[in-house]
Amino acid sequence: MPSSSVPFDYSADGFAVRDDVTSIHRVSWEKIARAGSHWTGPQRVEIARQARAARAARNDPPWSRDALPGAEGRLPETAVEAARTIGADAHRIDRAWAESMIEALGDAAYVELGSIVVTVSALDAFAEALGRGHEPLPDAIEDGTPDGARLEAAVDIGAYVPMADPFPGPNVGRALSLVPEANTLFFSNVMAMYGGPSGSFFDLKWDGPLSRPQAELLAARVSALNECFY
Amino acid sequence: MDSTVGRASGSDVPAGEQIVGFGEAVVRGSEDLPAAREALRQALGEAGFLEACGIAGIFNGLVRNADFSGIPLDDAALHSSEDFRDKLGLNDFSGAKNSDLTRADASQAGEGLFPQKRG
Repeated sequence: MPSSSVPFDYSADGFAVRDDVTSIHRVSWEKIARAGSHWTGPQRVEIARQARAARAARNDPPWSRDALPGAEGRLPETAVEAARTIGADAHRIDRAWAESMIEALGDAAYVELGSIVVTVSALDAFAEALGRGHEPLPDAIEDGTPDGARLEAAVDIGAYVPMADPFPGPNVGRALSLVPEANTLFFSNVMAMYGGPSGSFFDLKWDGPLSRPQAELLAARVSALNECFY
Repeated sequence: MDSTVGRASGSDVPAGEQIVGFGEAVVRGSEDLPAAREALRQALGEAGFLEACGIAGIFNGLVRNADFSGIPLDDAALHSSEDFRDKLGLNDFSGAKNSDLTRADASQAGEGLFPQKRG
């Protein structure tokens, strides 16, 4: 458990995390707490809670994860399954499973749910890497209605969900482009955490304290251990 | 290259052994994470350690992002990774089904999984 009541107060725990990284982590928590485009604030926080719990149990076989918390009606069961699977077993996802989730939830709601899971997974893994407890999840903001926003120009590029095409940045940067708010939630963290203090994932600059070979070695090893083909 | 799939220590990259050990400990949540963390700090210094934490963290999100969205590799990455994907066993990963592995386009050669960063 972090020692401060201020969210993501890394300095209070002795970590000199860059201000821009700290700031985007706080903004991410604020966003997760509020209504998005397809889920309410309480639903978004519940998605985060399910994803965190499932990821924490990722080393246990799926059939023995009896201790995972129930959603107690805050989420459809399909959404609970989606959040847990993306959090703990993403490498097992195939087209049939994704299509069954999308049929039940809708493609944009599936993308928004996934954006919350991957953001929480990244920030939790960052905390574990540092040796710091997980940040308590934010209190949900009850007010607010999902705005239903989606990129109408998104097209089928052969992925499970429609995406922007053409896309001006690295290919993976368009994975969440169907829901602009979801894309911003996650990729603002990507830009802060993978690009150095004045670099950027999207403008292709590299000026962090690690050399590019060092950074790519770590990234590739993490990806391979997660059995990620991409 | 073999270091990415655990067949080598990463010793051809400065501090590669500590980087690989740290990445493995973070992903697995293993008991040796504190020792791996300290070894990396000693090898890279505090700024390098914090950068590594950021990369380890965000790639735990990026891999899930690719897997749940089913985004296929673009032609450039398909081509540039063609000679090592099979060697390293990457084509056996479930997500490989999302990309047409016969579609590598030689005209797109030169980029990597991520385009070369400049500056």
